[in-house]
Amino acid sequence: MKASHCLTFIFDALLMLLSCHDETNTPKKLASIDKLLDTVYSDQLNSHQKTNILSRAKKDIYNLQDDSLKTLKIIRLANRYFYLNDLKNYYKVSHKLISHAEQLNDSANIAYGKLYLGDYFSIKSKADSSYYYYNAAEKIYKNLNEPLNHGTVLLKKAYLLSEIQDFINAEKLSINAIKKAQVSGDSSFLYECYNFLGVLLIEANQYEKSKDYHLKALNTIKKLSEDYQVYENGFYAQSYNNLGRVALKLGQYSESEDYFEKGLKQDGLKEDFPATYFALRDNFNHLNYVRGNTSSYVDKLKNSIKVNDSLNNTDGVLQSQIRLAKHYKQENLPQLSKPFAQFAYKTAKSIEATEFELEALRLLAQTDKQNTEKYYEEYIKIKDSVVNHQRRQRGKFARIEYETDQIQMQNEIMKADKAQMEYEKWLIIGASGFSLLILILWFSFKFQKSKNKLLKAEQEQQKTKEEIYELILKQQSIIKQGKLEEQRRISQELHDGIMGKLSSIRLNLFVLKKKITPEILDRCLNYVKKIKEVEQEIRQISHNLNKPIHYQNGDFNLVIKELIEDIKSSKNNFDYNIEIDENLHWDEIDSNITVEIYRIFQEAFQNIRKYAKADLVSVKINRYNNIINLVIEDNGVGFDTSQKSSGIGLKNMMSRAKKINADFKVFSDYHKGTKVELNFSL
Amino acid sequence: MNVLMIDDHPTQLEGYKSILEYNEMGLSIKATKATDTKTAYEIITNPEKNPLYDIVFLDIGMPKYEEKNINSGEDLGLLIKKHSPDSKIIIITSYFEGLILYELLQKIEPRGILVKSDFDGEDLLEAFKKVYLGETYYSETVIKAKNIITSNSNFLDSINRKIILLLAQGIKTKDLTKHIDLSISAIEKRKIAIKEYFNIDKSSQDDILNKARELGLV
Repeated sequence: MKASHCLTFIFDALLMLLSCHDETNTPKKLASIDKLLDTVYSDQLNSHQKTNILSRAKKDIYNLQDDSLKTLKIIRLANRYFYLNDLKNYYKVSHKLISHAEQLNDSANIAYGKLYLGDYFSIKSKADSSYYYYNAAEKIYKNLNEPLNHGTVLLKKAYLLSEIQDFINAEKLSINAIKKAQVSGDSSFLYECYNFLGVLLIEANQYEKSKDYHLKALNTIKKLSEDYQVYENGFYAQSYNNLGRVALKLGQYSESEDYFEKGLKQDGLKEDFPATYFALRDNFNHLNYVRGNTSSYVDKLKNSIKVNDSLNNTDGVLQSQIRLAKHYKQENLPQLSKPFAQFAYKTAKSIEATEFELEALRLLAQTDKQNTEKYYEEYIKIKDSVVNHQRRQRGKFARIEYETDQIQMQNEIMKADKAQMEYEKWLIIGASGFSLLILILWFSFKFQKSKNKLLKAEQEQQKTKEEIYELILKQQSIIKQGKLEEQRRISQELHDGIMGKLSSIRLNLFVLKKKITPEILDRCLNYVKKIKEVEQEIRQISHNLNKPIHYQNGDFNLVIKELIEDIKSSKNNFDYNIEIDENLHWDEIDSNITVEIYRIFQEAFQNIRKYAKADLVSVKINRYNNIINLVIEDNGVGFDTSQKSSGIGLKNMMSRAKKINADFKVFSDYHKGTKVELNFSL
Repeated sequence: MNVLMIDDHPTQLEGYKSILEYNEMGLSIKATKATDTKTAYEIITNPEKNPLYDIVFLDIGMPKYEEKNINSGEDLGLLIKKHSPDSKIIIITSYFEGLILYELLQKIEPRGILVKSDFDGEDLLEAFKKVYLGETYYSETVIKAKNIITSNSNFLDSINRKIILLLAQGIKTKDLTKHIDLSISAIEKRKIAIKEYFNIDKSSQDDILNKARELGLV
């Protein structure tokens, strides 16, 4: 603590000394600026102190005489801001770099400034602005001999294109970047290009090609200059990891294993490049799973989630969560799969990792059967918006590229620039808006509270709806099973019956080929007659196939039947009959209505169970044009409708009937049974 | 020569018999017909009461004879092997699934296999001639299946074959354990291995079946 205080003091003193300025760029002045810039890398200062030092350095640099030395200092200043993650100042200094270079007619550094601005917008996720500046830089580099920077700009454009899945153009740009990298002789950049193109081709599903480039990347590592040799093991591990992934995709499992093992063997990998290390382990684990070695798959995935979480590697966490969910789904354990898919979905949504989000949604749709539709809807919505976004971006990029709407584009970019400038102004407005917001929130909270009651009722109804849906699903699967059995039976009939008969006729007629006597002819004609029998048999099967089947109709009918069966018991044994109009198609009826009808049935049956002591219950549902008439009748003890104040059950039925605009009547008298009648129009 | 013919369709037997009269060797054929499983069982298990049958035509799709625990023609074939090892068996079947045919070939070791949908009178005569002369005759479907299976014996072992067959019968993976003495995870592993072998990337079991159908295995 004391040491750092002391240091700060010294620096402050230093700043005081430097604040005096004169006209020329003396070596002394330049050296003191360098010193200030270097202190940013010190780990004994906090970021606030570093910012102060940089603003002092900025002032000094801007006061320098305009020459190429000043340009270099401006670039270094921008780098420092970038290092401190102070993007606002990075942006301002980059602009300064451009205007300064323009004064000196120094096109190389104009381009460099544009490259920096491109980086700024890239970090800010403003892809079109970023693309605009990269493109402007590229145009300048075309006329200069600076292959490394030229290549860098090309590769950055390729990054942006790959993000909107324009793989073809991204590939083209990467290949151009590789050519520039080769000319420049910078092996580390060449490695970056090869590796990027390799990864890009995995995403574009071109595995063979991808493998070529990853192998090239691997070969490039040997040629790295000394500066980069500290990264060598990390590069090796990364390339082996990518090669392993490609081999896995290509189904070359032993090769893939080989690569992963080589990657994991790199010295100090876990300490120096933990992300690569754990990615390798995850992929290795997945390889084993694909090869059928499932024993420790789940444990390793769970461990991976923990480790990646501690490394703040959200992509790694998401990938493992999704793999777990997939695994459980395949093992037919949707209840285990669902929570992982849900975790992944929420995280992916919050960080806008759309690929993962889509995958998680698909898993949820498949595991959470009650909400399948909801999830698929969301899936389609997101998918559409992704595609639309990509389409829009591609259009914008193309416009930038061909400069058709140059002026309009420039305006847009300028607007973006201006927005940046106005950022601070908005901050103040925002603060005052905040207090207003709190006030509004308080009111809406009050409002919400009263609304909650209503919501609860709706939720309950939703629950019933789901219940019915579930029941219908259950019935459907029984019907599906029956359908399958029927299919099998028909196939057997065709195979054993018809085919057998036809082949025996064919065999018996074969004799004609050998010899024809009146006796043989006679025998064969007999077999020709048999063909008619086969025809009849086929007609029978075809007739069976054509029988009208009211499967869909049966669904809700079966649900009602099940309801009745439920209330029957040894104490409460009665006969029942159900008559349902064949013209009634439940799927055509709004599910809100079905739910209410289901509830009314439930209520009526409960009454019968509790009070009626009936031995016969009949249910009739008829349809007359658009009117549905529904009658539930029993021959039980009945009650006096004029005397008894209607019970909760009856009230419930009435209110439900009211909801669907149905006409509801109850007829009953002592020892004359009870009849509930409901009429409503569709 | 004595021939035993087992098939539950009498007309079929009628056909065999009249075709065999035109055999190249000019042999006169004494045919014994069995049109139900019980009769066939009695004939086979009492060789001393019957002549030695040089050739037996055996239909695999015979109905069950539950008293003696005979489920199909396959069981009759095994009985023939046991009671009359010198009889040469020619299987005639309406199965065309490679795996089933291969299974029959392994178990019963017949001299000939004819698949009902792909043989005609000439083939029957050819099969009869070859088997009579001590050679073998197998329908094309059988030869194809045999080649595929023997050249892939390391992966199409008896258990994997059974898994594919059961899947083809529409049995769900979770119910496979009732038919095969393996755990779910072991079966899953085998399924993954089969997929791997068939070069199927990631998929449902339908793809295994599609591929197996393509190869004529099921």
